[in-house]
Amino acid sequence: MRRWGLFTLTALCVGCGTNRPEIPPELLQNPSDGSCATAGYPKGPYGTDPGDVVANLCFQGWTTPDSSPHTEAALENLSLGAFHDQTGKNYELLLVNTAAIWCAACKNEHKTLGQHYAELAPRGLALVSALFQDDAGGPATVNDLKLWVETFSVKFPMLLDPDYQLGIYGSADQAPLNLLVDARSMRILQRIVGDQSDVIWPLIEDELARREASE
Amino acid sequence: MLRFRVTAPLLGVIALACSSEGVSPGAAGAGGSGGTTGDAGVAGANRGGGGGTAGSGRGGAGVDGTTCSAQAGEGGNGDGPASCDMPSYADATVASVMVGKVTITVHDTDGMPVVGTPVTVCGVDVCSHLEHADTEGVAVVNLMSAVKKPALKFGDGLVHAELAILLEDAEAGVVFPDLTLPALPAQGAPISACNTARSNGAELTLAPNATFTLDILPPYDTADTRAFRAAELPPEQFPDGIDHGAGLERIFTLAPLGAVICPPAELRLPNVAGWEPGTRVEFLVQGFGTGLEDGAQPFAPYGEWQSVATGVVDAHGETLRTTSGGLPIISNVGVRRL
Repeated sequence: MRRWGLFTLTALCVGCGTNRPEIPPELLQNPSDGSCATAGYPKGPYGTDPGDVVANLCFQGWTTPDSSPHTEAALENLSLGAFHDQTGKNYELLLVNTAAIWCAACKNEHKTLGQHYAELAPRGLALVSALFQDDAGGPATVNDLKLWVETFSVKFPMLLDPDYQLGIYGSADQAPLNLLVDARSMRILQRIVGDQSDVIWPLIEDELARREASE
Repeated sequence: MLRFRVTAPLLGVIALACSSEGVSPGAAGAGGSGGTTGDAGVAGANRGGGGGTAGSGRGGAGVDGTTCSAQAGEGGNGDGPASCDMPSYADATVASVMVGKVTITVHDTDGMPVVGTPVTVCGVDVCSHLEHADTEGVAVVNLMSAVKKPALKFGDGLVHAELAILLEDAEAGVVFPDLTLPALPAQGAPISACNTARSNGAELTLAPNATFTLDILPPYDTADTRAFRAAELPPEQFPDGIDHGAGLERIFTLAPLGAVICPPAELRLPNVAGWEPGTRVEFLVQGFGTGLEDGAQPFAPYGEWQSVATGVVDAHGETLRTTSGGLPIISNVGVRRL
């Protein structure tokens, strides 16, 4: 009886939780893995809503897929902290994007993502995308990443997220996800669900223009 | 509707390039497939740059000039750069809506559950999580955000067909208790310039200088899965709303979905209905392309059907064949009599 009571209490607690995604404890602090640690990354707590600091998630992928071999051996570690730029010298904004092979909207988005990136990177936009599932909804593999990169001629960091770490910011029930982050503070500016090109790119252009005007 | 005309490199690139000049009928010797027809125009190229409608074409050798040879394959040809129109049906004014729980039961034409087939609700901007039909053929899909022009998409487009049904007024949820998904043939027919690919009575004939461009993403990432497959969805098993008011009398499901053919291929479909020889018919393709930017939704509005060719029942009454226009993209094809 006591066990059932405990179970019921636990279930109620879970059931009464907010819709806000829970951040795993290990992500509430800077990563301890030296290979992905980023000196000077803003301290936690981290959050998932606009205004919160984004956790310094760590991935494997190809940071320069247009020049690196598309092999498992060429995978590199890359954390979001790699784009943290307190002075804005290199980066003003970071757009974190998700994709899955089964997701038609994700595929369509990647047809023009590189073009937008090429136009806005000189003005301080960093872009990183993470492939999280294959065509059957299973975890994305290195071969999936290879096919994706080659299909869309990706020229920005393209990462693997088979555990869908970025799911703390947006459910896989709504793909793709676009997270716009202030690279100076690593605070989330906007969380946009879907291939909303008519929203995302004007937003980024306006934000970059605002910063350029204030310099 | 917007039209794009793009010139692109020859091989292995995303943008297609092809010429309608000097196009002669393919090996089957049927009517020419070049030219503009009705609302849909001719086959498509796509935008250059970082990506394109058809994605990365696997750069195979084409044919030498306009002479058919055993070298025919995917990719470009030896005729030099050319261009094709790609009509775009992206509509940025479409509003976002909510979709409630979508429950479907899907079976094949013999009534057997299509176990494991992928099911999703996808709009032109957002997709739900990918679900799979269970052992009873049942799948439940929830899309948690607002979406523009949502459609139920079911089937993998390889083992079985893939179909799309636009969801209108589905905020309270919708149940599809009896959906049919035709099985596609296990063995496909290679698609290449100068050749006729045959499957289940359907014939797809590419011109000598035709290009064939298709993403290399799964499930179309091997030579076998990139082959031509066809199966009819029997009219008595059309799901409600499948033709979106197009008045289709026949629907043939084809694969690989999304392959762009330039110039448009001649298509012959079996005259299962037994229409009289000489009966004039119209061919429409179903739109699977998403997106709202200019150039998106090529050849047909997402989830809807768009005319791409007209044709006739041949003199023997055996096939419905395109005579003006052709198939610019492999998709589900609807037919109605004119």
